[in-house]
Amino acid sequence: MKPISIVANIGPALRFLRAGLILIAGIVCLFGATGCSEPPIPAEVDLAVSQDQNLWKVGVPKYAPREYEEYAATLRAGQEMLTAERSKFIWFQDYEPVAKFFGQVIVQGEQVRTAAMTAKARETTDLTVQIIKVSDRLRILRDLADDVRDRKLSTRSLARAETLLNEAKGHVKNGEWDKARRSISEASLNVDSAVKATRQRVARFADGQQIARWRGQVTNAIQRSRSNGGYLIVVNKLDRELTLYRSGQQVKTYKAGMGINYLADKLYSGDRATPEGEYRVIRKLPASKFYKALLINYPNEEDQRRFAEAKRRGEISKRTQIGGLIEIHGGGTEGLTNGCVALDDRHMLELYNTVDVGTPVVIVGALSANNTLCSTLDSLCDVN
Amino acid sequence: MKKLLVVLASLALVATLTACAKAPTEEVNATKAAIDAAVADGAQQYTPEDYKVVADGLAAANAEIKVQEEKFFKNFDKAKQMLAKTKADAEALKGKVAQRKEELKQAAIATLAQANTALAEAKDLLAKAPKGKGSKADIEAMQTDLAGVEAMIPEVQPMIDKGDFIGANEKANAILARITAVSDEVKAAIEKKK
Repeated sequence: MKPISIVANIGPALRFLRAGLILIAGIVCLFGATGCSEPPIPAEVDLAVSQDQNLWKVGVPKYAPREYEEYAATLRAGQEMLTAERSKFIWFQDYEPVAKFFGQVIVQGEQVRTAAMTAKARETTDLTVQIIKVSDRLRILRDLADDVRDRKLSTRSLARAETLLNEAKGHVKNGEWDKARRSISEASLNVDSAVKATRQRVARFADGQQIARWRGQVTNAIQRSRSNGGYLIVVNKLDRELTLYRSGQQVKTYKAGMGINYLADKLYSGDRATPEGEYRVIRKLPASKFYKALLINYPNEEDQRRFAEAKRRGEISKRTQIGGLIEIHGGGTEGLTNGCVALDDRHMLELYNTVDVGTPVVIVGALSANNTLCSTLDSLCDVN
Repeated sequence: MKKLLVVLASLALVATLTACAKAPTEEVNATKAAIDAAVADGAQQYTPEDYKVVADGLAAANAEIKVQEEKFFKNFDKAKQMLAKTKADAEALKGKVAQRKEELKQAAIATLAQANTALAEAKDLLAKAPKGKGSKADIEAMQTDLAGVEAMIPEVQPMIDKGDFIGANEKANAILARITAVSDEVKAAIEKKK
C-alpha cells in the first residue's frame, strides 16, 4: 500500500515544485529584462556638488551668507529630489527633472558666487577706504608734529593706532571683516584721542584773545623801536622765525629752532619750553657752547608771577625751580633746544654783531589765528 | 491549498531577500559623533574645507541610506562604505585641526617672541643713539612710539591662552611691523648723525 501512496503523491509535489520554479524564473526574468543597474545619475548632480565645494573653498558662505543659505537650501531640495528618484523602482525612475533642477542649482550657484565676490570686493574696498581715512588723519598728525617740530604731539595713542591699522590690514586680507572693523574703530578712537590731546595742547594758538595779546605786544614793541630808533628782536614760535627790526622797520627774518616742548609757554626749569613774553638781551656770550649767544632776562617779572601762581595751585612741585639761561644762540635750526632760540651760525654771527645788550626781545606764540596748526587740527576734526 | 502554499513560499523567499539588510544606524551615529568632535575642536574655523568634505560625506551617506530604505531589495553596503570613509576622514580631521591650531599657536608664539626681541633691540638702539640737542626730541618721540607699541604686547598672550590663535598672530605681526618701523627710524636717525 505504501509504494502506491508515494506514487500517488508525486504528481501534486511535482506540480508544486514546477510552480515554484516558474515563479523564481519569472522574478529572474523580470530583473533580467529591466536590468539590475540603475540608470546613470545626471552629470549635473556631480557638477553641483563640486560647485558647492568650490563655493565653500572661496569663502562664499562668509561673504554672502544669506545668498549661500538660499543656494544651499535649493541644493538640499535637489538632493532630496534625487534621493526620491533613486528610491523608485528602476522602471519608474526618471532623472530628467532631476538634471533640470540641478542645472538650475548650478546657475544659482554661479549667481551666489558673483554676489559673494561682489560683496567681498565691496567690503574690502570699504574697509580699505576706512583704513586709509584713519591713516590719513594719523599721517596729518605725524606730519603736523614734524612740521611744528614738536614731537610731543606724537603720542602713545598714535603708535597704538598705527599698530591697530596694521592689524586691520591683516584682518581684511583674511576676510575677517568684523575683526577688521573693530581694529579700525579702535585705531580711529586713538587718533581722536591724539587730536583731542593736541587741540588742548595748542588751544592757545587758536585763541583770538591770546593772538590779540601777542599781536599787541609785537605792535607796541615795534612802535617803541620806531620811536627810539633802536633794534628789536621778535620771535614767532609757531612760524619758527626770528625777525630783526630797526626803527620799527623789518630788517631781516631768520629761520629759528626752538625748544623740544616749544608750543608750551615756559613755566619751570626742565620743561624744555621756549618762554613767551617781553625780554631784553642782558649779556652777549662770544664763546657759547652753541657758537655765540645772546642771553635774555628769563625769568622776567611776569614769568615769576606765573611760576609762583602755578606752585601755589600745586600745578608744579614745591622743589621745582623756575630755571634760566635762556639764550638766542647758534648751533643751527635743525635741532631742538631745551627752550632757547637757535639760529644757523652765520645768522647768529650777523645778529650777534648787530644787536647790543639791552635790545628788546619779544617772544610770541603766533601772530595769526589762521595758522597751519589750527587749520590742520580743524580739518582733522572735520574728517571725523 | 496548494496554491496557498505556493504564495506562502514566494512570500518567504521575498521576505528572506528583503529583510536581511538593516539601516546602519550605529555607523551613522558614530560618524556623526566623529564629525561633532572635530567641530567641537574648531574644524569649521581652522580647516573649513576639510570640514565641508566630511559634512557632505555624511549627507551623501544619509541620502544613500534613504534610497536603500525605499528599495524593495535593501542593500546598505555602499552606505556603510561611505560612512566608514567619512568617519575615518572626520577622525583624521580632528588630528588635522589640532595640527593646524598648534601651527598657528606656535606661529603666534614665535611672532610674539620676535616682537619682544625686536623691542629689546629697538630700545638698545635708542639707548645708543647720540642724544644731541638735535636728536633728543626725535629719540623721545621714538621712545613714546615704542612705549605705545610695548603696551600692546601683553594683549597677545591672553589671546593665545583663549585659543584665538589667528587673532593673536595678527596682533603680534602688527606689533612686530610697528616696532620694525620704529627701529628703522632709529637707524636712519643714527645714520643721519654720522
